[in-house]
Amino acid sequence: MLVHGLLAIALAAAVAQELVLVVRSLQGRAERRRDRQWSALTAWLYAATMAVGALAHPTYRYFVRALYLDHHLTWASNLFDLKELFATIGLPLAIGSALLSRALSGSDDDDRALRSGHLVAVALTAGIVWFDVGSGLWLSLQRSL
Amino acid sequence: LGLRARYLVGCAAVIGWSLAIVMPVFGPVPMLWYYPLEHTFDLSARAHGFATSWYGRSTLALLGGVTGFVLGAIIVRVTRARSQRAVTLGTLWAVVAVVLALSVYAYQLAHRVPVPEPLPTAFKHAATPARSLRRTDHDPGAQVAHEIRRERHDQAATPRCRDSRPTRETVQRVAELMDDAGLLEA
Repeated sequence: MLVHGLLAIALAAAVAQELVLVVRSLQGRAERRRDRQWSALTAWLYAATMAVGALAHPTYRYFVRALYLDHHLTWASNLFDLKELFATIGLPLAIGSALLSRALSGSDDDDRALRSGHLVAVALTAGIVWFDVGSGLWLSLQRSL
Repeated sequence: LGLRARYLVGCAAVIGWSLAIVMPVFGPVPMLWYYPLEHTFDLSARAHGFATSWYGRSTLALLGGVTGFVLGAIIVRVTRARSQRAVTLGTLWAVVAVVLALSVYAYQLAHRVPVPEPLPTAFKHAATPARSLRRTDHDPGAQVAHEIRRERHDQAATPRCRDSRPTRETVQRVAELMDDAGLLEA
């Protein structure tokens, strides 16, 4: 759980950095190498956070959600499930952003449509990550393993 | 395939992923269920006992993503869609699919009332269930000691109760626990 939390906090910071870089690239101040690096880092952190969360999931699902949250804090049970499903929905966006960033940094033409699509993907990923990290920390304050 | 074509295929994969993950909300779909207590997986439309669906939903999303990817690749190859308009439309459709998936689950879970699992026997009188069960699950003596400590703590927290002897309820509870653990027979 601790590793999961630490990875999630690092992910929240990485996706914020990536969002800033993508916005700056749309403003004509592109730093393609840094953008590619931060996108890759975000995707790896996202995958690692989910993998560690998937390992802890059965234990948390029974000892915390089933035996405590379902009895005493039903809203927290629902928030826990929502956070997990949001993370799954956001996974292809994080990976897609990294692949798109890699492809865009290797091409010379400045395709505005693709850059806008990249911004949308990163913004959605950032929204999901920040919601998940916030709700995960809040849930840990209520009851952890 | 060019960059725009690959981008459109990626959008199709995201759409497939997002639609597949919400399918179980609208009806029973055969998917993987994980039973944490038995440590087993089962492929079925409904769970039989205490199970978690998250792995199944994630696998379903992965299958949907792969299906979307393949269909997208075929469509992009056949229609030769490469224009800026196609890229914008692909982005919009992907955003709609993702926001739809997020909204469906937010709506469903905002109104859900979870059905609590029955607590295990050794768990019912413990003050902090999750921690107590893990600490004393395989140690009946520790469970008995925990019950006695809890009783003493309750007495200490009650100003009017000066009697340090265990109550009849506690004695009965401890006897039940010892009986369950087979300590009385010994």
